Amino acid sequence: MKHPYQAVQPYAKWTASMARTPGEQVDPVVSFPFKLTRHDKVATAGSCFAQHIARSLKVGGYNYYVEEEGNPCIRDVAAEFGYGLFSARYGNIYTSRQLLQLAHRCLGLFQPLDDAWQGDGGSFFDPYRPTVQPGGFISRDELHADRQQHLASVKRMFENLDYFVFTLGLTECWMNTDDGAVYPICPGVAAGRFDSEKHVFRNLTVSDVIEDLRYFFEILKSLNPSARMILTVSPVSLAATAVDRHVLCSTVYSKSVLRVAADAVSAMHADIAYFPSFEIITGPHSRGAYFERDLRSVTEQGVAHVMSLFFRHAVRDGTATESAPPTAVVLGEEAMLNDAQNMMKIECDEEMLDRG
Amino acid sequence: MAKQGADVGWAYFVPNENGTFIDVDGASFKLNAPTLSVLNSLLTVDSLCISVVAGNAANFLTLMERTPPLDFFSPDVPAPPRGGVPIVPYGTVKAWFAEKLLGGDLTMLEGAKRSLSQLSYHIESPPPVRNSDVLLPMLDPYFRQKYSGAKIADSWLRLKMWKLQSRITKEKCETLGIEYIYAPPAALDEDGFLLPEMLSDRSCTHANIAYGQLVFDQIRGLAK
Repeated sequence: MKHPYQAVQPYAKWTASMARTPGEQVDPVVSFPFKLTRHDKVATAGSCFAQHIARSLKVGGYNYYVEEEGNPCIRDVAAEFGYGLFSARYGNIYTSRQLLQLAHRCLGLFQPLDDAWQGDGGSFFDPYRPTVQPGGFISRDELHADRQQHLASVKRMFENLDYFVFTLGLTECWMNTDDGAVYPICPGVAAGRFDSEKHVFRNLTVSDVIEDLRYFFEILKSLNPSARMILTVSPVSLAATAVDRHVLCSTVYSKSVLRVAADAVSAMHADIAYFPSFEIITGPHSRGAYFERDLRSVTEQGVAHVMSLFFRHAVRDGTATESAPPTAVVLGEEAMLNDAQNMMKIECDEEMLDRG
Repeated sequence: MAKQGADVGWAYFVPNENGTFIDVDGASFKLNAPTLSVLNSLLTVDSLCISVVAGNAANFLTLMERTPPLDFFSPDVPAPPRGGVPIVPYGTVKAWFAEKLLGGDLTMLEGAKRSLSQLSYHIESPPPVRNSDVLLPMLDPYFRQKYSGAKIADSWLRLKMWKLQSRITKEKCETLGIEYIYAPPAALDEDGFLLPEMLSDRSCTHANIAYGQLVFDQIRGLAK
């Protein structure tokens, strides 16, 4: 009698699908439940890596949906001020809790008590997107007006998108002790002042992330019944950890939690799917060559591998090579230097944790 | 000024064979050779050299109503943005405008200062008038051709952009060691708009001889 492993597909066996497959041809996607068209509005949010997806969709001719573009006159400086990096000007959304609270805020269900951070020189920063306005807002009124139109844009985005691509980045977060409002980055790093009485560290668990995502998706569906969500896990390691242990251990914990939660949530609902960009970048087939010299940032090659598989499996009228095709995984100092020189400009607030 | 006996010379930028006024010198700018030649023929070491460059940039951007409309909070103008118009944060508008000014008209100021040690002052351009209705009949041909059928922009927006232009220009002057001379207060109303009687009767973006007299008084004060 044959045992079960004799009947599995070749992609289910390591030697065939990994050890004997050239790195650039490794394809862990196998199948994907959604087929995006060029007409579908694809919105993005999440950690730094989500910006790669957004950019590739745009370059590939897909309908990367930006609801909050800002006035066209500022196009030349828009990216510097957080416009167009994601589908709305929310900056990095690193945690599931931050995403859930954003949905609550845009519906008027939650108004955090920590309203604004005053910077040097009288400027004001939004605690929930402290880096979108370099130098800060010139007044509390300006901050409020911009926040109001931002949250209205987020709501319109949720109502009108076809697919919501969310890249889970972190489990570690800081929250306000009074009302549980979660910050994208620890107060005092990008702006504001850290206060140990008001700001408490929280490392989200698997059940936290699952509940946040389930609850968020319920809200999304209530606004937009046909919406679908694609989850990815960022392959970018933590810049720093607030837990007293090695940053690598915290990274593995964080990514493991996010990966398990993404799997669990996508198994719960037919309109949620997981895309394995994390595996494509971090798997041993790349032999680490999909990371820049800082061992965190993802190379162009890595992004191209991810997006070629995305176009192959997740779009109806796409092909694997219509954007930048993946090239062979190349090891060596010279290739890494070349990649570093070509390193893409990605806004990643978390990098500030690793300075000083 | 000339009528009152002052030894006044006007220097205009002369394009070189490439059609440009400014030469790029490494990371900075300098006047091109034809312009410098004209200036050197006019100036002595004791000359009072005053810049009035880059005065119309705000008009090029926002004299006419933009589509979609633009508005923003300004630290210099108390009027709030118009209702229903999405705001752009001031810092963002400033970055946009600064990019255009510092990479455009203000290269002339930088080039002039690097080429002429006598350049010590820059005179602020006249502010906009409050009443938009008086401007439409006097539109300069540039605006008439480019924006036929368009409306004059909201007066407070025009004032905000002019103030922003002044702020960026003043900051540039400070880095170059040039003293910034504000528009004469006697020519302005209580909110900082140009008084209607100071507006040119031929151009909606320029002031008239009465305004010029006030500026002359300012220059005379500098010469002392």
